[in-house]
Amino acid sequence: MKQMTEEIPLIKIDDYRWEIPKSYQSGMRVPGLIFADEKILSSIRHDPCLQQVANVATLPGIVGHSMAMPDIHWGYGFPIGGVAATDPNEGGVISPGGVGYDINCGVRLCRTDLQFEEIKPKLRELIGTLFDQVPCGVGQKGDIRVGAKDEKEVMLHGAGWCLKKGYAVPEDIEHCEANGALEGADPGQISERAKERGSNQLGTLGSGNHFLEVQVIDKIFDEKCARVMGLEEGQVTVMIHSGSRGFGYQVCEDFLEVTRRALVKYGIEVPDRQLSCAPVHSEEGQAYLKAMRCAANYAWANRQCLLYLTRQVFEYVFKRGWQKMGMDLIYDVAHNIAKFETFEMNGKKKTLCIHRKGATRAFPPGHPDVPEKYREIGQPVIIPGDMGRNSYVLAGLSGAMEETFGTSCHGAGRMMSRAAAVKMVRGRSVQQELEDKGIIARGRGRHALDEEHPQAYKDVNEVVNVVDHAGIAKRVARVRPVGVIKG
Amino acid sequence: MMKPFERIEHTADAGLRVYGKTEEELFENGAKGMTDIMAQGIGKGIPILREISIPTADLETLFFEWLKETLHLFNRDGFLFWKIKKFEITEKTLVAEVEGEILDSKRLELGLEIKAVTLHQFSVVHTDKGYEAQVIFDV
Repeated sequence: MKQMTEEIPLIKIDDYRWEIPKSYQSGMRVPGLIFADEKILSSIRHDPCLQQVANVATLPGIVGHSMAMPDIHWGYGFPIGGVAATDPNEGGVISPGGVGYDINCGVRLCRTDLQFEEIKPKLRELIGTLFDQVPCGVGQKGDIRVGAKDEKEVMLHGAGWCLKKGYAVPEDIEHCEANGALEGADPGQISERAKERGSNQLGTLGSGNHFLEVQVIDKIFDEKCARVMGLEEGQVTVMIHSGSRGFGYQVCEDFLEVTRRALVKYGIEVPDRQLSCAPVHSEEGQAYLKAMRCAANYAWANRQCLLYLTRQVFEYVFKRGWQKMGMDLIYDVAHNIAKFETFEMNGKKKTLCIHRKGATRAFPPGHPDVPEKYREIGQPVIIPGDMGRNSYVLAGLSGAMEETFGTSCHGAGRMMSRAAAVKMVRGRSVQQELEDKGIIARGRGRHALDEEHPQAYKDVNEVVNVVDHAGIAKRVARVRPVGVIKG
Repeated sequence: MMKPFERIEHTADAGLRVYGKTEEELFENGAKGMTDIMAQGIGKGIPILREISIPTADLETLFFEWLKETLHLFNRDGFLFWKIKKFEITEKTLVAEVEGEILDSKRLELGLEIKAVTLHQFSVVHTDKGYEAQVIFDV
């Protein structure tokens, strides 16, 4: 495996596109394509993530390009921000590393009818109550317990299980990617360890970059789209970022082992052992897909449970029913997932296995998989930034279908290690700095806020600027945080 | 004196470099380092014993599996590793008895949740002082 990224040749296609030619590394089946502007590129130019784009290009059956979104950073095998499509009928593979440990890590945005001025006097109480009531941080258990029967239902029906339990309303399900559950999940593929890890973690946030944020819309870019989504300036929103918790991590771990053995069985050579994979049409590939779908469904149920808890807290603090406060789910997107989707390639329709590792689906107006409410404007794409700056709501564009297999970026993208961030803020209070900017932040872990300091991330405004200018997704609304809880 | 472990940089995650004069010390320091990422202030809880048993393999695989098993004890029971009480590698298995405490989030300072032990840049090497390993955790 090549390590030195200085040598990676990048051909500038235009101001937002850069190609790694196939000739760079033997075994590359397609070129690499990186979406970035000059500034973002300079921050990743010497990062191993570009080498990872080239490595992914060697996967059997990969078609189009091995792609990276502007929030790309160093991951395991695949870069975070990586997109790869394989053709199952041309020996295409499925790679657990192309989905990641946190299967269906994703983000959802809930609107409210509340204006910031209305909640301001109670903001501290709101954030404090959310921090007390929404389990977050290492080893914290959820109050939503699932028995063996429910456990199976969660794996099969995802957010649909929440509807049955009274933790959701039908509109919540309609406003989730894939209606909050992938078909073809098989609980029989799930190890006891995965079940153990998942048994008490539904409705828990986790730690690291997961968060629950209370925000205010501070800018509308597209009036029409915003109106359809029910968004306007000054309005309060809630964003939730979490995934499949220990359940999904264990599924990934179990199947990395299975696919490592599959490499030998099927004679597949990969430049990095974290790129282990199996043909989609193999026993191992199918087993992983069935298990991955269970974990994806667990994640949708988890984010729905987190929204349920959030609504309860708003009801407690503002003494009104959540429906009276207009707390409707705008949309829920997955950003670590593999799915089969149909695209036109050289004039022919092909069903491909799309790996999105730290990347978000961004289907355009008119696509049948976009909920009816949004079909005219395109799928809402939720892009969290860092806790000190902004997050975005975008809408998918046709450029995504033509170029990125219907995919956009997923966030700001880290550019500083956790250790470096802690070192940078030594002697400072990140909590106080955020307070000075009008953001109430509560973190469970010792360095939860330090490690997630805004400066550890790229500026999401710059990342979103690239996907907007590249014609992948357009800006609809920008929000700024006013309160955040973190594990 | 040899450092037991130190944190190493990784853009999004947490990494460790682990040292040990013997295999047993390397394994003990690896588990200590991993625990240190998850919680600080341990050592004052009620001592609990657990057993770890892993099929014998090459040292690199064994160390990888050891960390995974120690993490499993945390995920299953909230077990935070203190030290090795018994450590034996036979032809077929590594059997160890380990001591630790159960996570009490009211008393301890929480760190990061470890999603997984990864093989990304994973290595175990012999040095003139004993052993040195490197591991990146997905957090």
